[in-house]
Amino acid sequence: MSRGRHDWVVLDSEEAHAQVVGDFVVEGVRAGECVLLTGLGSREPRLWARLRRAGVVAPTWEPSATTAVRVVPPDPARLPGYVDGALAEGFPGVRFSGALGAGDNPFEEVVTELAARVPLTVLCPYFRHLLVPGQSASLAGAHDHEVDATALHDDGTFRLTRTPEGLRLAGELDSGNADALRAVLRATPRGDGRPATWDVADLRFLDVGAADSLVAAAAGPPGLVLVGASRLTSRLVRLLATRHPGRSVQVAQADGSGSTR
Amino acid sequence: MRTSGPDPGAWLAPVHRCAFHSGSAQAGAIAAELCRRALAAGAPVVAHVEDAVRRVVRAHVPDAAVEFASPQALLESPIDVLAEDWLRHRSRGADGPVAVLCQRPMDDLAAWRRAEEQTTVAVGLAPLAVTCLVDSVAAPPDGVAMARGTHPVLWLDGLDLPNPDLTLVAAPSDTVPVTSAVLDPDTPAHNRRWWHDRLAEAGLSEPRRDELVLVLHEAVIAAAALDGGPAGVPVRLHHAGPAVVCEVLTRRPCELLLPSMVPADRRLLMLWLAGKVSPAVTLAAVPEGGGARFLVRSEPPDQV
Repeated sequence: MSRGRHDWVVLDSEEAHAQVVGDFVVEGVRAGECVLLTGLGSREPRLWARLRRAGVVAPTWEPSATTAVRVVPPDPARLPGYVDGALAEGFPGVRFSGALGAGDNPFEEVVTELAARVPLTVLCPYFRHLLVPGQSASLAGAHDHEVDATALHDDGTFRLTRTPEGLRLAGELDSGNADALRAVLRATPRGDGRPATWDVADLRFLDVGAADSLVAAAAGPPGLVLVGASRLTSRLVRLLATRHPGRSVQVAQADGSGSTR
Repeated sequence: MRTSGPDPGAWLAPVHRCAFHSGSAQAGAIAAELCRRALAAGAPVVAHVEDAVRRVVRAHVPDAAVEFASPQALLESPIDVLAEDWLRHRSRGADGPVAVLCQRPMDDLAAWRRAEEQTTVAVGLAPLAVTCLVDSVAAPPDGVAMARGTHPVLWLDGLDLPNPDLTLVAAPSDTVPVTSAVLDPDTPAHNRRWWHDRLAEAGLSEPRRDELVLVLHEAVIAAAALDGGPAGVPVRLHHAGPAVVCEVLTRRPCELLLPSMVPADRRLLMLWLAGKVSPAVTLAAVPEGGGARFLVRSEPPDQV
């Protein structure tokens, strides 16, 4: 997302919120920007965990008034002060997002004005079930661009999306979720001679049965590459790969390094 | 062609059993039979038995194959220390059970009960097949009743039988209950959040919680499968010293889970695999009443 944009996105689940807003925050931190968040409430722990998994904050990190990611009160009148303050500290740009309730977004007017005069990038996340009839059309007119948050599968617990490199698995996947397992296997490309690649950095839970099924079905030649797997997920898939002859799983870090089993 | 060494068909399961008998001759015959079976399975044998029993065993079993020890030693050390000593008899690299015969001298009944309860816990945590030889004629009636109430398994006519008189084991004396609940096996995501929250309250940090929750998730599924899909699976959580111990209960008995042996019951396979994922988490299946209890234990971070 380029600097200075005022975009919006329609979300179908909390998992989608953590992923899309999380990506927005991670991108900002990596660009050296200050990220202001508001209205997250109980979503904070999940989002902070997302930032920790992405490696943009330390394991013991908590937001404060001096960290790059800050929580600001849900008061549109005070937002310009926080934005100007961050820029005065030397941040090259500021990002703003959070979580929105039902009805009109009280920040729309102020962020539209701010984005016109300072390097402010805004993502307004709307939950689909809170939109009222006709609201989408007015939101489209008030924003620069609608971010596509379409998922191949999203049941609120497990979310599957496509990326340029392959698939992205997020949330929790257990063997009782047959629809999700089918969705993963259906979306995994076959026959192009390259290993399937799954980004599992945001896969917070994978049970033994689900992992066993996925390794058995998707790790056949030319193999399966898992990117960003937690230590637990890595150990689990390595253990299960030994149960299935001919299956190969490479566990790669986001920087491309990794090991094969 | 004759072969020597362990009988590949033999298998020694971890167990805490009571072998009631009357008199030294019968005790000796039982001890000799159990020694033969253990040795056939390739297990080392430690026998804390009186001289009369020792003589019978020596007459029927190669002398060098059994490590004899004093019965008095059973009174002089706590069970965890004894268990460590027993496990030292395993050959290097071996992970199968050690067979232990115990002929405990009569002493304070409360101390005896504590020792039996701690032995049941020890058998759940370490590969030990412990047989207590209890003379039902010589022992006081309250001692016999206590022995009946504390051993998960009875040795009768050469067979292991679940003990119908087993009293639910009280929590070991060094445990501090944290919480208990009945989880709905059809809401696994909710159950995992419940475990995460309770383990966080118990002081476990996130990476360790994840490891424990994986095993507990599989334990609840396995317990529900064993029980035929019940509406609820009882669970408990407590501190045992610096360790956090979680229990998942099933009403049906199940085989003991050995790290080196794939469980015969397919309903236990995923749980058994989960138990192998993290070296910091130990898994055991312990008989309890007519059913079983999956014991999932997280060692403190500085001990793994």
